[in-house]
Amino acid sequence: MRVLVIEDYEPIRRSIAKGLAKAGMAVDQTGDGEEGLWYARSNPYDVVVLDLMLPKVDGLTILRKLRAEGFKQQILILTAKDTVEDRVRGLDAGADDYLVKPFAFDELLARVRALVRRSYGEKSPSIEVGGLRMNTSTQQVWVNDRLIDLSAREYTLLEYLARRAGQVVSRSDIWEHVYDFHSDTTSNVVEVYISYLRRKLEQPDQPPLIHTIRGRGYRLGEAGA
Amino acid sequence: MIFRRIQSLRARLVLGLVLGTVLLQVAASTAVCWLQRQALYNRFDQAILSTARALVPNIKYDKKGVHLDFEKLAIPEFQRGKGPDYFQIWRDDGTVVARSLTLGGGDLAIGEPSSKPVKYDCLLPREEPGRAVLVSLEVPMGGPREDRGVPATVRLVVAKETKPIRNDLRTLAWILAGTTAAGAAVAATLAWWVVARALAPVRRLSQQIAGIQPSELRQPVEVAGLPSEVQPVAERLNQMLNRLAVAFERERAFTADAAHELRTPLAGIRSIAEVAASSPQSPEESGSDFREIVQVTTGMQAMVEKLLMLARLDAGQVPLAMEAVNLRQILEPLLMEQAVRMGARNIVVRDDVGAEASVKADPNLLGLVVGNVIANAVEYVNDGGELALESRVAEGQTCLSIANTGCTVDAAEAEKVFERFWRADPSRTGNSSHWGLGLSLVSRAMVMMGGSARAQVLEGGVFRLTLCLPAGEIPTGQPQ
Repeated sequence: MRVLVIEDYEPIRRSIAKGLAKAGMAVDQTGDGEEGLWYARSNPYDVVVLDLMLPKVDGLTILRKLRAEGFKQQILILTAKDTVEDRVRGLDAGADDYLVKPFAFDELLARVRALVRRSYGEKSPSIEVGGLRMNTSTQQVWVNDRLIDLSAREYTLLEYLARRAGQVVSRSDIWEHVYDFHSDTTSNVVEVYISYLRRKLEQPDQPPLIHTIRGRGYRLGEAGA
Repeated sequence: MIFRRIQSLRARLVLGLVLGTVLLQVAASTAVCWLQRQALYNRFDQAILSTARALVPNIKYDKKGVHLDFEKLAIPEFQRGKGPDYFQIWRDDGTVVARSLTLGGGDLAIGEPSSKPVKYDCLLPREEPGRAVLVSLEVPMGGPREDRGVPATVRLVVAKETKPIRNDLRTLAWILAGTTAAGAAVAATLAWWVVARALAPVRRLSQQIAGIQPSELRQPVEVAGLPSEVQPVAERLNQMLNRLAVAFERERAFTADAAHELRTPLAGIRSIAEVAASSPQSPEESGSDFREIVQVTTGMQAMVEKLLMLARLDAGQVPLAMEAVNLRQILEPLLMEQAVRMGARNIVVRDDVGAEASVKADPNLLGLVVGNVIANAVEYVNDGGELALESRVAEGQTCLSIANTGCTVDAAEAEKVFERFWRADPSRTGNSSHWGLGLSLVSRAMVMMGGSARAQVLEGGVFRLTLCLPAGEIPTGQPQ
């Protein structure tokens, strides 16, 4: 799940980015409105965490521009402006959620996860594909009721595949949603992680969960599921 | 005094008015009674005197001696009856010649004889108070001319009971007392009512004042309809309320701003700590988190200290030790402090402050002021820009101006830099040590020291801050 953090106050920006990354998300960050707008336009983020008072271009302008250009990312406004009018203005401008500083990081994380679910049209934090069951809140994975221990990156990759279960997911899709801007896209890291996941999830006597579609990408579960 | 103990204006007025009315009426009544008494007695005395004069021709002196030819006398007043008249006649040797029957054989009191009639009060028989007139007269011997000898000296006293006039006077006194009491009662009632009516607007005013909420100080007290004596009070009150409202609003805005400014760094610290606590991390990561927290708290501390300083300046709690201060001595260490930072950003310093430039100021506070201005200039100057320092002496004042290039503030907004928490770029939330307080501190401190601070935006994006203070006299011969 790929998240962009646009926040000019460095202590908050850095800690949020770090916390979201630890929760397995691919995070890009910037403290500048202009740069933030460029990032948001050029990458398919699932969620944008947006501060309102920003140098060069303010948050509300970014929000309005993105919505006017038809971008559909989930946008969470994170600001010290706490009046009802401020919230109304933010939500009316096209924001999906509004969180006032100071905030609890756990709440921010929960809200970002909820926005991710919403961006894939889901309401329940639980995903089931064949014998695979995932809880996206606690980030736990079971295969045939057996709890599987996954690393953060493995989990994120699996969650992305699971959210698009039954569809063919290209390697570039994976790059765009699971890895941040600074990742090296030329390496075979996706193949490596797919093989890790297969090793942990699949058993010889069971049908495979992750299918390789030659020349196109991967698919979790059966086609059209 | 009782009067002082009475708190109510109304009661005081009424009491004063009643006392005044009673005093006046008593004085007037006394005067009336006295005059009336004089008049009555005069007339009474005249009446007695004329009775006496009527008697005089009847006093005869002949061989038989002095006697009263009473047979010829037909004056009914000397008959016994109600309120009769009395007379008694003596010779000068004290022998009684005659007395009225009304005396019943008793004596009248005799006054001190004189050539003129003597009038006096006396006690009549039956202990009745009365009024008497004594007339001394010479009665010539009657009969043939040759028989005549030395005339006899006779004293005649005629007296009347004074009961009628005393009754009249008593009636008059009662009437006057009654009038006084009624007058006092009317005065009291009238005063009570008038004062109550006159003070009604004051009561409304007090109700209005009692109803003023701290949040609506701006709503003025109604002045129209108040008695003209109270209007100035209400007007002053309105003026005071206005000043209070302005001060309250400023205070509220200040508190809100301060809370807002502290909220962002607090959110930062909390976020760093929560993320660090949420999952295990390397010692390197923890170290960088801690360093970041220290940096944020240092900034917050600087802000709180500035707030405290401002509050102290506002409350006049900063003791000032004014002395002649050389500007260079203030500037040198401050410029040194910023040297590394300016060097790293290729900032050129043009320093034209004269070696002799001096002001009258508190050296510590001036250091704080100039330090803030320089830090502000260094903060906002563009990389590779210029910092220009200058001093000027004019009209007994020494002005130090500090200008920096790279200013993006509108010329019209220049003076806003002195407002608390005003920032040229609203998004620069706490990234730096500037919290929108430094320059308001400068302005406040300059005023405290009897000087002034002025901000200008000049052509080409040059921001210039000028600090003016009375010129200080550096003792001659003192080396720089």
